Amino acid sequence: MFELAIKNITRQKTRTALTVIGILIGIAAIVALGSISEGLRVQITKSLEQASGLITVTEESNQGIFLGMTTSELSQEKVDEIMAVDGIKEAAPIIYKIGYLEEGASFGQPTIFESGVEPDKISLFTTESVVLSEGELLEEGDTDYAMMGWTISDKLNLEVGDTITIEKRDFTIKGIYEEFGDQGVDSGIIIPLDVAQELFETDSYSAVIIYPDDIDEVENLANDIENSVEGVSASTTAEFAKQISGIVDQIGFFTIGIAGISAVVGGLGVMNTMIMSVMERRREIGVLKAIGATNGYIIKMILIESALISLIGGLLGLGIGYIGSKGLGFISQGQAEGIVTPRLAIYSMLFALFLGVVGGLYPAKRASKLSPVEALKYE
Amino acid sequence: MNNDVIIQAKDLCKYYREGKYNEVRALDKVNINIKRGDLVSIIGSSGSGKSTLLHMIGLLDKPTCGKIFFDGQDISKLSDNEMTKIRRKKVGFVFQQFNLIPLLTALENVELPMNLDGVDSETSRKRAENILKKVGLKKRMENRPPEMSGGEQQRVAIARAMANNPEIILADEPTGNLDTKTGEEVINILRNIGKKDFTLVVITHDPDIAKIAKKQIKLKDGKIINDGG
Repeated sequence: MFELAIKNITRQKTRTALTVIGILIGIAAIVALGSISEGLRVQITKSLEQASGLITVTEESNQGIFLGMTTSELSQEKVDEIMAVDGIKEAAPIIYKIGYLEEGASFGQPTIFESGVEPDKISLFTTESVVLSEGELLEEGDTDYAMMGWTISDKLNLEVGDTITIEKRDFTIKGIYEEFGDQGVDSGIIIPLDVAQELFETDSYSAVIIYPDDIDEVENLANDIENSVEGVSASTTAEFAKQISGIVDQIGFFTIGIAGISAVVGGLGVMNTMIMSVMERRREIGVLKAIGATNGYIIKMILIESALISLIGGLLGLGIGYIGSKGLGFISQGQAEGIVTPRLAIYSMLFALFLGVVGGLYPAKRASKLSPVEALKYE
Repeated sequence: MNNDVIIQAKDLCKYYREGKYNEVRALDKVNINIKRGDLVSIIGSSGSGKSTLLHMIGLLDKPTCGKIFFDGQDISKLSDNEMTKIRRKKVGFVFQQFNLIPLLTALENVELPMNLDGVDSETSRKRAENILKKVGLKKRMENRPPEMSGGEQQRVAIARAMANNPEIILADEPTGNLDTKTGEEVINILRNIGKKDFTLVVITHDPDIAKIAKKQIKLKDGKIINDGG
């Protein structure tokens, strides 16, 4: 039966190829877009794991911590209040800003993650697992020096001792971090806190990063801070992870949903092809029944055909989606790296199979209901 | 019921509705007896109900009223799948249009009914080769139907009909698309290929072929006008 099914789908080569392409496009889109959200998830999980035990305090806002971070403003008084709460081992006020690498650049062009931190708190900001690959850490009084992540130094082809211009001010690079996995650190630069305040013309801070006395008390400390200081929100990395993974899920759901629609259209193509194929083969199906094929046999034969078409489309789509995912990573210069996880690959193949089987059901049922006498009359 | 009788029809009829009020009586109260081992011909002009009768005997169609017995079993009210199973094991069909599967080789076409019956592929291959040798197609086994002449295709069709060693072979104008000489060859193969006691029912227009038959059933307007005794 399997051989007969394979022979049947090669009978109308052009039509089969077009049907396969219909499925291919849908599955390739699912794989390529799905890989981006999988990549995002992996990246975020990686950087959050390394920052466990930290609390990030920002201005209370309705934008959530993710977006809130870049617009948050904490005054000096608020920061003093926060730092006075019991149970804090170390605290570092910081300034975040997202700037453009090139002057006069706008949305969509390469960005740089600029952070201002007190030099002796750098280890707290980046966590201690970050290692310098070149040069030295910033020290008190290094007003004309900066440290940068490996991605950005690689991209700009800069080394320790070179100069980088930020907001029209020149900084000499003092140290470069090795790959860390956190986009902010890997593709950002770090300058002293007071220099950043001067540079960005502000008296306030973006956030305070806090390391608790007791790691097990991290949630309680976050609650204490929120209760004792008005107008701030204190998030632990666990909450952070939850929020961000929620956002990533939404992005994934949305993009895969759109791609899924095109795959469903591909599935309708399979159904259309199979209906035509059954109509053309009425006589043959009648003969098969006359010589002893049961209705079940006919149904199976048609379903195998449609599932095969769909699976071939799915496998080719997986390959092309994989290439597409790498292509997207290349175009975005590593900012959106796609990862085709086994889960994504398996689900997209199952979806292709599902489309094939569902698309084949109606034509198969129709074929099995053909009366052999009627089918034999048909010329 | 007499064991010598393979087909018995009692007041068998088949009516079709054509439009809202017009009823076509393709078969009207037909009574026949076909003995095991007989060679029977069915003759009649087109539209006389020959093919309908053949389809009924071969379990391809169900009667509107009356009864039909196959090998002692009442087959007038069986389900589709029960009919299919009897057809597969006990009936072989040969059609005017040959009706081979064009994608399969001669050998695969002959194997198909055996595969449908669950015969293992080694046995079915050997048996298909043997039957094809018997019908004189030893050298054409790996050819597909479109590469063969009409006479060759009909011989493959006969081999396919023989595959599951049926009780009865039903041939609907088997020589209708062939020239006289090839037609005679085909009829001779049909007569001599079956097991001892197999029954052959042939629909034909050809009076010479009809004469060879032991028994002639003549139909007109869905009624038997001569049941051949």
